[in-house]
Amino acid sequence: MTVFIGNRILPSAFIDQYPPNSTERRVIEILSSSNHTYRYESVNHLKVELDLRANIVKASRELFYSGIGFRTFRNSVCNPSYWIRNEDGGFTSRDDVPPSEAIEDIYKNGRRYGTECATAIIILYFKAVLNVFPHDVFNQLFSKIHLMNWQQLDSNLAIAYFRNPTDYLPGDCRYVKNPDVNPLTPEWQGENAIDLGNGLYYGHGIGIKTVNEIIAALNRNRRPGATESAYLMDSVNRLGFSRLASLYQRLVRT
Amino acid sequence: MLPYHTPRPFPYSSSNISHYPYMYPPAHFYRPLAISPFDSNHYHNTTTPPFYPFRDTTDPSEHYLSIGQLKTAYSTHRLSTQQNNNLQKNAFHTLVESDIQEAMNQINDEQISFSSLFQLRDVIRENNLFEGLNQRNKTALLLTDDILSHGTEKHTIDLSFCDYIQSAHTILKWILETGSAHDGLSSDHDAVLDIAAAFLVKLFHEKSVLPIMADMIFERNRKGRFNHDLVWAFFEAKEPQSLILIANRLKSENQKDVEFAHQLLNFIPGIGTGNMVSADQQYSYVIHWLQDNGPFLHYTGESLQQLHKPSPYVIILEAKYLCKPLYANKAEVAAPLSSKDFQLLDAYSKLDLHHKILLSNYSLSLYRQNPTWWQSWLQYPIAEQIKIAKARTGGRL
Repeated sequence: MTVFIGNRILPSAFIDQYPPNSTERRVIEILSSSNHTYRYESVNHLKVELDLRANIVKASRELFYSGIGFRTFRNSVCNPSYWIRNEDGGFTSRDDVPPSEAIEDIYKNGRRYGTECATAIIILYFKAVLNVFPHDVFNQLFSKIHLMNWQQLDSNLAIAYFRNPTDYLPGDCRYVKNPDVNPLTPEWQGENAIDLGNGLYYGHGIGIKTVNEIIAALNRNRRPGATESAYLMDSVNRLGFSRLASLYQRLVRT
Repeated sequence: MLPYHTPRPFPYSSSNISHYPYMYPPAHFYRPLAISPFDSNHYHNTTTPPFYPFRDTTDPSEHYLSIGQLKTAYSTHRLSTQQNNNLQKNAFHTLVESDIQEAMNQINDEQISFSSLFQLRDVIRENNLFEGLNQRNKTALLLTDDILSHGTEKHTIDLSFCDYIQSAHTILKWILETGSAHDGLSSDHDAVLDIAAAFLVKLFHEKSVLPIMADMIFERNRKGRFNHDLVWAFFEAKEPQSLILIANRLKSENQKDVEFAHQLLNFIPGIGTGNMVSADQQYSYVIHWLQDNGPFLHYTGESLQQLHKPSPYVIILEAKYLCKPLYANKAEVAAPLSSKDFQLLDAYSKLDLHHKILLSNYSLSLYRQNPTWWQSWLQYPIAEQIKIAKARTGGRL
């Protein structure tokens, strides 16, 4: 099927500006060969989405290597110089530090942080946006950041959940469900994992693995006598690329 | 648009109709049927009484029981009114030093709460009092250690396997029921309650603790404490009727209760903070929706770990169309399927979602009105079924 920019078909040469094996190129290939017709308001909207997706993949790898630990919400930790740990185990950025620096600190001092997998996804989403937007614009858009899995999400991230999407793209957040999880360890009920575009996924607490390896890790944390395997669900969480592209147009490309 | 949802006519304000283009404020929740369901050109505003094919000549007392008073599982103040014998740590430590026998009598008292026992763990350990505890207390402490160590500690239980399974169930209930009154005591204490709830629900399929769990979930939400594991355990009961315990909070005076109830029930079409209808109307809507769709709800397992507003249940439209309730939390019906059923499903499968929802809703409505008419309607080709259903409902879902 076709990718439309407004009423015009995306030129086939558009893909040439991206290196072979790049995340952006992989995304365009999937969009162009899909059964679904994709429409973008402008070529800049598409470029912002491609940029964000590439940075989600980059931020995923960087978070993995940052040293951030896996901890349940009851035992979560953060650097108090930048974040306040709330009673529910989530984090809120301090008022006296720019939110951009608070996000950067997680990557610089990962070992001072520990949280669950969904919160890690939100962290890398913020980092991806921070890599694309100028810091002053980022701080304007996200004046206070809450990190508590999929709760208290900033409306400017515009994260949305899609069941049975037509295509899966690099930068999508997938979910591997573990229905027979041991009740003793509810944190292993599933794993949020970023599609890195090369058959690998990043899941905080498990690492950069294939789907089968993530499933195997979850299966090792089932109740004794479990019979039902973990499995990859047909759903995605996605950053609000269209919204962010519009914000970028309005606030950065003026 | 959610898969497998059957939006019920809902008392929307006109300002919200744009979000649900297929739904309009109805005069009635269901349009009353015409005398003949086959006469698609006529519409009569009459209702017919429920249809019973058999005369009941038995003694009514064989089938009905009037219990006089009715209790409710819903309580906003359950947690604060529990009366338990609470031992204070310092007082117990003093008692151990002065009168060990009395100390053991008190700690082994039937009325002691789990929270008291939990607070005295260190004193028990320091003074080697474990062997003097009764079986309940011993098992509860071993369970606690197991939970807090994530199962890395191993213990020897002085019971047969069968006795241990049964006592574990009882003791887990005691932990949750007496411990809930002191929810918030400490993170470790609350973690034990969460896991006890998860074990009771997932392994023992214990549903009597769901009201307590609902109370704790909303209490913690008000106070900003962690409740996601408890919410997960609550839905893992796979008990659609338990949604009433959440729906009760739609009428709460506490705005945080109302908002959280909206979030947890958002998968029910029409429930959301955007609607301008009253709390009582929203509550009634949920109750009616459950009455209609409860037998056809399938648990999806979606949770707060996975997305912002999970949809823990979906309606299996095929089951609703055939009016065959689902069985044992599976996407399969309990009743056998005939060759006619398979024919119907084959034709049904070719429809778009809108028509599937239309037929499923109409089928259930007609089945409850008059099963004989319903059987006759099902004999029609599916195109005719749709025509009749549209005539009866105006094509509205």
